[in-house]
Amino acid sequence: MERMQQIVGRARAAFRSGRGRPLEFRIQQLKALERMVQEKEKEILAALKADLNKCGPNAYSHEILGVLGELALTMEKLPSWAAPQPVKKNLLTMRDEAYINYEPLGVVLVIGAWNYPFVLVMQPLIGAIAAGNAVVVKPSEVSENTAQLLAELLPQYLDKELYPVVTGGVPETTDLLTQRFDHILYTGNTAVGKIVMAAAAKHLTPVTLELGGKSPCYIDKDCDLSVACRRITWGKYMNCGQTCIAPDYILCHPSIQDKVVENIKATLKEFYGDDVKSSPDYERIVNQRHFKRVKSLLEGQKIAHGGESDEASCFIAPTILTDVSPESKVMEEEIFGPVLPIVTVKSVEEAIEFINLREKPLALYVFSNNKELIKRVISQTSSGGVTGNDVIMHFFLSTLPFGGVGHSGMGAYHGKHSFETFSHRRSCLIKDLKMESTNKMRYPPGSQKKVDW
Amino acid sequence: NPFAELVSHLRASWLAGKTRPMEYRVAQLEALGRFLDDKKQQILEATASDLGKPPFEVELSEIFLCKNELHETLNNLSRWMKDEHVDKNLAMQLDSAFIRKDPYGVVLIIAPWNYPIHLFLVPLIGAIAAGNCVIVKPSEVSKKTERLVAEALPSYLDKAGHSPYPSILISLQDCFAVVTGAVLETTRLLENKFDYIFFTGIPPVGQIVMTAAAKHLTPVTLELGGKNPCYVSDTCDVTNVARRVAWGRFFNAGQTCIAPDYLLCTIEMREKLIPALRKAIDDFYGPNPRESPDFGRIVSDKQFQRVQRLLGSGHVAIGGQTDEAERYIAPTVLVDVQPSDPIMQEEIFGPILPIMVIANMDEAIDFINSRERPLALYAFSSNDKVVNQVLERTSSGGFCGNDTLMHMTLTSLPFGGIGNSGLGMHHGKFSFNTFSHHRGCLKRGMGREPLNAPRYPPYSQQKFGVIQATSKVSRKNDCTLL
Repeated sequence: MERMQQIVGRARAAFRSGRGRPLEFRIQQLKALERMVQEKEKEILAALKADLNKCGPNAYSHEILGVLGELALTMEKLPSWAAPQPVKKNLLTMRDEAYINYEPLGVVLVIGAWNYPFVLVMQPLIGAIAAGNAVVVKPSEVSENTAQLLAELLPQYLDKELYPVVTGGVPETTDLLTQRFDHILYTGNTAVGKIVMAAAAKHLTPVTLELGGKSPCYIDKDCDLSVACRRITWGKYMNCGQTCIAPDYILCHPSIQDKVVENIKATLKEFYGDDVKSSPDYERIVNQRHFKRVKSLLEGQKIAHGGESDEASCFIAPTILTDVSPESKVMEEEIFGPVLPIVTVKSVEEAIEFINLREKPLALYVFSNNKELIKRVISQTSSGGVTGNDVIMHFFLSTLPFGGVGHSGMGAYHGKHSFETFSHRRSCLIKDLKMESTNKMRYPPGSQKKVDW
Repeated sequence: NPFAELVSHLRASWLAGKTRPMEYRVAQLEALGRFLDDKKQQILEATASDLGKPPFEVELSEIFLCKNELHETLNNLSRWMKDEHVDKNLAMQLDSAFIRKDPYGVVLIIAPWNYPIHLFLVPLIGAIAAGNCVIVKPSEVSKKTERLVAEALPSYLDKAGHSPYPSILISLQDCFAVVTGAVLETTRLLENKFDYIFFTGIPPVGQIVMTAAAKHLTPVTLELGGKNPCYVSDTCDVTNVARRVAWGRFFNAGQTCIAPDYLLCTIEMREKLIPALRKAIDDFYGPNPRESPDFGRIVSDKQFQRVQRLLGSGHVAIGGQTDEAERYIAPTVLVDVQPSDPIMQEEIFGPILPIMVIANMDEAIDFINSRERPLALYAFSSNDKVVNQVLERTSSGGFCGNDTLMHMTLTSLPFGGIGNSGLGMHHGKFSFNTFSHHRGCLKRGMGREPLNAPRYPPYSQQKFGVIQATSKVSRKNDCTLL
């Protein structure tokens, strides 16, 4: 408890000193982060391989490329994002200055997740630094190699007091959450999200919660199944299904179920070869606990493809389940594994109703040649974000806010949205001490004449 | 759970899509305008009864400002509702990328007693504009206004709508409800799942609301309060400062969340300010403010006793008279106040202005920064640099230089707190944004599949090179010619 108090206290004192505020300082820190990513690329990739068996090109394009892009964008745009924004005035304030000032919040806490352990710490960190805050970074202990690496590297490149890294598990995180922060960004699951928000409530701390849920994927009869299934296969099985915006389950008409399975099977062969286990491009489940959890979801299900597993290496083969009952266990919680259930529905209306009966998901996917149908599905459902005719991709456009709604989260970030999330928009009206006569109308004694004017 | 049925009733209406079409939202908003017009007399009477509110103040703060919000919203609603198209990277040039503004669903608005119409109506405007169903919980402390809202408001809202989705039968009519009650009822209400909660009130209750919201992962906006500092520099027009500060402090008998709570100035300035404040009070309310129709009363016995106790701090320089039967506290200025005095420990929320003496601006800024961040912060000086210094070296919800309260009258400025004074914001477009979920949408084509090939396994350095080339964001100063 005391250790956390000291770390947070030092960060707060460093924030109060004001040295994190000037734009030049922030850009200098971001540049240092850029150098870190470039100079330590090998070490970062090695940590990701050790934690999740992610291979080089995959890890680079999913974790490092995005971070470099975010850094470049942020350093480029920061001066314009941070500039005071004048607002429309009325007749009474015509001669005054009225604007919104973007100011740091103070000390921000970033709690990372284990599935994309590098990018899910770095992207929030970039936004929080850009907005002028001190940042306490708490990477997930489950991806321990990346956590250890971040604990070593960040202090080497960044201001040690303003941006400390805290490692540890549940007890350390619980301790940390008793401290007062000015914003908390948490990436993880719904249950812990509630705990984080309840802890934040004690200090009236605003939160951004990037949670999860079951992201539905509706495949219309009218679509190019081979293209749709290739894209779905890519998004579902990347990182061994451990992606918060992976298509969790498929909704489609029973008449195309078999074709969907066929196409996914063909794509899997294309991607990973005949022996998935020996493909260097297929990852592993992060640990035993999650391995057991995902494996148990297969019980009693019709396995159309896959199902093989190996506990020693936490390997679960890419698996497809058919004719899945909505009440089964695999349809209760977010799967977060390489298991793809197909639930059949008779129509798009039924699919929409099915989706709306459940908690709002982080992502929603719909495949169709019919533009009107896609529009309708989007308009009649709610989700954090949407990609039509593909999966995952809305995550990669930083001009789109990335976040959940309902049980899948609150708040958003990426690009400029990060900067706004980690800033306070302070409204400012600067008047003149002269021109007092214009104020006379508002002062007592009141009268009907004044009101009518 | 006494409110479960009501909430699920509204949720069913929500799921049927009733509140979504623009025509429906516009109809409700226009009805709110008619409510303000038709019920003006009753609003004047109710607020006079509850808070002794002068008619001028009611016209200005409870009706006029609400109408501004209403008109701003009606004028801009179709633009705000539109999908916001965003810039795309090279790889997505042929896709459609936009932010869709989705309603949240069922919204709860909890309003306080000090501006009992304004503080439920302005958020309600935003929640309706954004397409939500809404439950309004007015304050039980402003009793007459609570009854007026509960009895009159429902008949204006939600007249004859129909579901835009023909396959869903609408037999339910309700998209809006007013819930009355005190702490117990509010606690029970908060047990239910809402899709957004908007709360205006004091920080301790803000914590309770956010804790209840956490159980359902409900996002919240909390408009709270604190002690709003008012710094007056030595270089200023004392007469004008006194009038502006007095106006902001004594409006609504001090019961305003952004009222200047305490004043910081040098001893020399204090000596000039006191006679100027005395004159301003006399100009505004006459020699006996108790007889002025333009000065309000404290809302309840409990609040009266609380504020009266604060008169014990320091010394009375102006005013100090009270009348319990009327819940009258005179416009009062206190001097020789210490930071540890009771009046400097809580938000005053009454017609008392303590003056604390400081040696200079730096001391004032240090004092302000040693305390919780306030909802509003005021600085008076004819020297621009002084005003800017105070602005730059402090943090607050909002800021007004050389006046009080006025920053909240511009619908283009976001209104909200920071730290203990609140989280989130509203007014104008910010209300609409607060009550909408900003959903990132990307619509791609099914063709051009070969363009996706580089992202698929088996992975290779060559494939990776293509990804980099088409989606990299690089700094403009080190660009490479493509």
